[in-house]
Amino acid sequence: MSKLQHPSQNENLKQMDLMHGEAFQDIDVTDKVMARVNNLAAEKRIKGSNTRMRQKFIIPGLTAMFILGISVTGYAASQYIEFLNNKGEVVLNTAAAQEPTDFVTHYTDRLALYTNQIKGQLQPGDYAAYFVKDKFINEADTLNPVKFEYKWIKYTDFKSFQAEISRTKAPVLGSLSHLPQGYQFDYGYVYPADLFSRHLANAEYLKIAENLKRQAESSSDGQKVFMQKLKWDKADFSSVRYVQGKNAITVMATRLLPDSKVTIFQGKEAQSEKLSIQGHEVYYIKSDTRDVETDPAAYHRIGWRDNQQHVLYEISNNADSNLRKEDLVKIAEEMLNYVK
Amino acid sequence: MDEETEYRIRRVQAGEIQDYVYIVQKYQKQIFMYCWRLLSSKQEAEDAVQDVLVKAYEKINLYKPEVNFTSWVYKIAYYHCINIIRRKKMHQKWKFSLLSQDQSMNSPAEMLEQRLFNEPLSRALEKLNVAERNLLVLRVFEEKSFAEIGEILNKSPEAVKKKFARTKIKIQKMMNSTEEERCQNYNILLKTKI
Repeated sequence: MSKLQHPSQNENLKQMDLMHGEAFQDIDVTDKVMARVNNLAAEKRIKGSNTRMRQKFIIPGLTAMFILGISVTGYAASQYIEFLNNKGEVVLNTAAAQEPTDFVTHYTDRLALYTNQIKGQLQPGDYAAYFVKDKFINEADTLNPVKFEYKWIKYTDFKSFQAEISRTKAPVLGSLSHLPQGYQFDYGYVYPADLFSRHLANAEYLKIAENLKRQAESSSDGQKVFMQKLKWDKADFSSVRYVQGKNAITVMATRLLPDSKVTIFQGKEAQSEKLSIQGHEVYYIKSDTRDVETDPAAYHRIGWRDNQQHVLYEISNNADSNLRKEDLVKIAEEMLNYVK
Repeated sequence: MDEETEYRIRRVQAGEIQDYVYIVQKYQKQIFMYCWRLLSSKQEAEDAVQDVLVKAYEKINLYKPEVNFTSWVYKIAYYHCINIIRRKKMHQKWKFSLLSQDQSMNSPAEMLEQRLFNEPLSRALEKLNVAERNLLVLRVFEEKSFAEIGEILNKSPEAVKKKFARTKIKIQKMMNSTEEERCQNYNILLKTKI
C-alpha cells in the first residue's frame, strides 16, 4: 500500500519520472566499495595494532596538557621525540605521518581485492603465501613477489589465549588487575612471525615464488590468485582487547629485530610527549580529536620499547572513549612491573 | 529492519568486514537512484554512491538500532549530496567569473540521456532549493513516510508534512507557469512563421 498522503497528486508527479528500473540495473559498486573498505580496515589495523608493519606506527595526537600519577614524571611536550639506546643510537622516534600518494592508494586498493579473495579461502589459523597474476602489483613491489596472509583466530577465552601465546612463543601479554572499572577481557590473538628472512636471498622463499609463478603462467582460465598454505608455529605479535560497552582498550606487543629502529607516525597536528613510568621512558601521544568520524585512531596511546626483550608494547583506547590518560598510565605501570 | 540486515550490521561492527558486502548490495541501487535524483548527474551519482557506502562503513560503529538503518544511510547520502551541490555552485560561480562559456558543459544529447524527469518537472525542480528538491524526491519518488523523512532530516514528521505540502504547492505553481510560458512561446513561433 502506498504511504503517500495524496496518492493522486503524487502519482501525477511520479509519472513524470523518466528513471526506469533498466537504467540502473547495471549499477554494481560492490568491488570498488569493498576495496576501499578493506583499505580503510587495513589502515586502521596499521594505526591501531601495527600487526605487520614492524617499523611503522601511525598515531595522531595533540599536545599533552597534564600528567598525574605518583610514579610518572613529565617532560615538556614537543612535536616529535626520540629514544636512545645505551650506545646513544636512536632506536625509537615519533614523526609526522605522510598522506599516501595516489599510487600507494591505488596499489593498496587493488591488493586488497586479492587478499580479500584469499581470506575467503582460508580457515582461522591458516597462514598462506600467495602470488597474484597482476602486472601492476608485481611491478609496484618487486622485492616481495610472494606475499603472505593470515586469518587470525580470535580467542575469547583468556586461558586459551595464554595457551596460544605459550605454544607460539608470542610476546607475553599477561592478565591485568588494574583495568578501569567495568572493563573485561574481550578477545586476544597472535600473528605468525615471518617464516623467511631477507626474502629474495632466501632459498625457501624463492622456491615458493617459483612454484606459484609457474602455476600462474600455466593457468589460462582467468585465475588471478595462486596460493600455498604454510605450516607455522612461531608468532611475533600479540594483541588483547578489553571492553566496556562500546569502549575498548587495546594492548599489543610486537617482537622487534634487535638492531631495528622504530618510527611511530602521528598526525600532523599531534604532539608526542616523553613520560617516565616506573623509571622507564615511554611515549605518550594524545589525538587532536575525539571525532571517530574524521579520525578513527586512538585517543590516548602509551608505548615503549623493551631493549632487553626487543619488544615494543603499546596501550591505546578508542577515540571517543571517556578514559583519561591516567587510566592508561596505570595499565602501563602494571605491565612494566610484570615484564621486568 | 529485517533480521538479516540487523545481523550483518552487528557482524560488521564486530570487525567482520566481509559482511559489509551484503549491506552494499542491499543499498547500492536505491542510494544510487537517490543521489542521481538529487545531483541530476549519473556520473556524479556513481561516485557518490561509493563515497556514501564507504562513509557508512566508517561510521557503522556509531549506528544504533533505535534508528532505522535505511534512514541512517539516506541521511549520510543526503549530506554528502548537499556538500557536492554546494561545491558545484561555488565552482560554477568561480568559473562564471573567469569564463564566458562553460567549455565542459554536456552536449544536448548527453543532457537528454541523463535527464531524469520530463521537461515541466525538470524545469520546476531546477527552481527548487536543495532541501525542497530532496523532500520531493524522498516523498514522491523514494516513497518514504513522513516519519522516515523526519529521521533523515532530524525533523518531526509533522514539520516534514507541512513543509512537503508547501513544496508541492510551489512546484505545481511552477509547473503551471512553465506550461503557460511554453504555450506563449509556441504562439510567438506560430506568429513568426505566419
